[in-house]
Amino acid sequence: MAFDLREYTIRRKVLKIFGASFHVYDASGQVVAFSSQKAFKLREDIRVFTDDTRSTELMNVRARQIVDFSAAYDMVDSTENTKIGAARRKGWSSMIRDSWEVLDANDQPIASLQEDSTAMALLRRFLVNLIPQTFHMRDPDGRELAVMRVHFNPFIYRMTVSVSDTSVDPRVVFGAAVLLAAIEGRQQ
Amino acid sequence: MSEPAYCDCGKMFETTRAQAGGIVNCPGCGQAVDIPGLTDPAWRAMQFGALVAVFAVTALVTGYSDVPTGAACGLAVGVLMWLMSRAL
Repeated sequence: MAFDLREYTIRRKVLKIFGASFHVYDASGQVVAFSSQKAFKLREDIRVFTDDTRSTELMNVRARQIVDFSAAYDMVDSTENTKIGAARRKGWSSMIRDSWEVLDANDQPIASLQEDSTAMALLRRFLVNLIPQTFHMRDPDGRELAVMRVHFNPFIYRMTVSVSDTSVDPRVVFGAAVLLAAIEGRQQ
Repeated sequence: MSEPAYCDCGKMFETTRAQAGGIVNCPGCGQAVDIPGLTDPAWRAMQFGALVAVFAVTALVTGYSDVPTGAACGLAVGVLMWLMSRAL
């Protein structure tokens, strides 16, 4: 199961005209999931499937509002039809350094997701956008839960997720990673 | 401020304004329930902007002489966008 992996890579599918699609690979290079962002939807709607036949849906990540400065995205486990968590973008902070709040199913903060450093974030924004981003997911005590590292490649977006602590639902980490790839990956 | 939400299992429960447009697990059966969205201020602003734009362009094209046509077009687009916002 894709959610149980400690390390996986999300790779954007090239030559996709409308919307965005991502393949998720395990450490051995096998496809473990396929994610697709619906095109022409006013509200962001990202679906995760077991593979690109889209026969079995695993997860749905959906924005609450059409346009929102501090957008919140709910994550639903499609197999159980239950909300597993949410991620909320910190609007003001993200102008300088991408920052997200990871929430549980009751919208209580369980972790933060932040770009590596303010200096690097400023460098990326104002000088060169080619420096790949790294995101750290930490619990409220500052303990690192996962690292999401974007690879240097100006043509294909690729992000490796390394989960170091499973105290947070791994499905939420997976959902946050797919969301980052879809939302922040657009800036490339 | 709280808004009522209804689950298919028959349970009615309160939701917060921040949850509007999102998904909440029903406290009765635990299944995900879609919460109706509040009027999105950004969507309203887009509607108003489109209305003004159509009005302005039509007025310009008609050389400021046919303001009722511009108003009619603006009104038509406004109604269309309102209908679309209801359907979303």
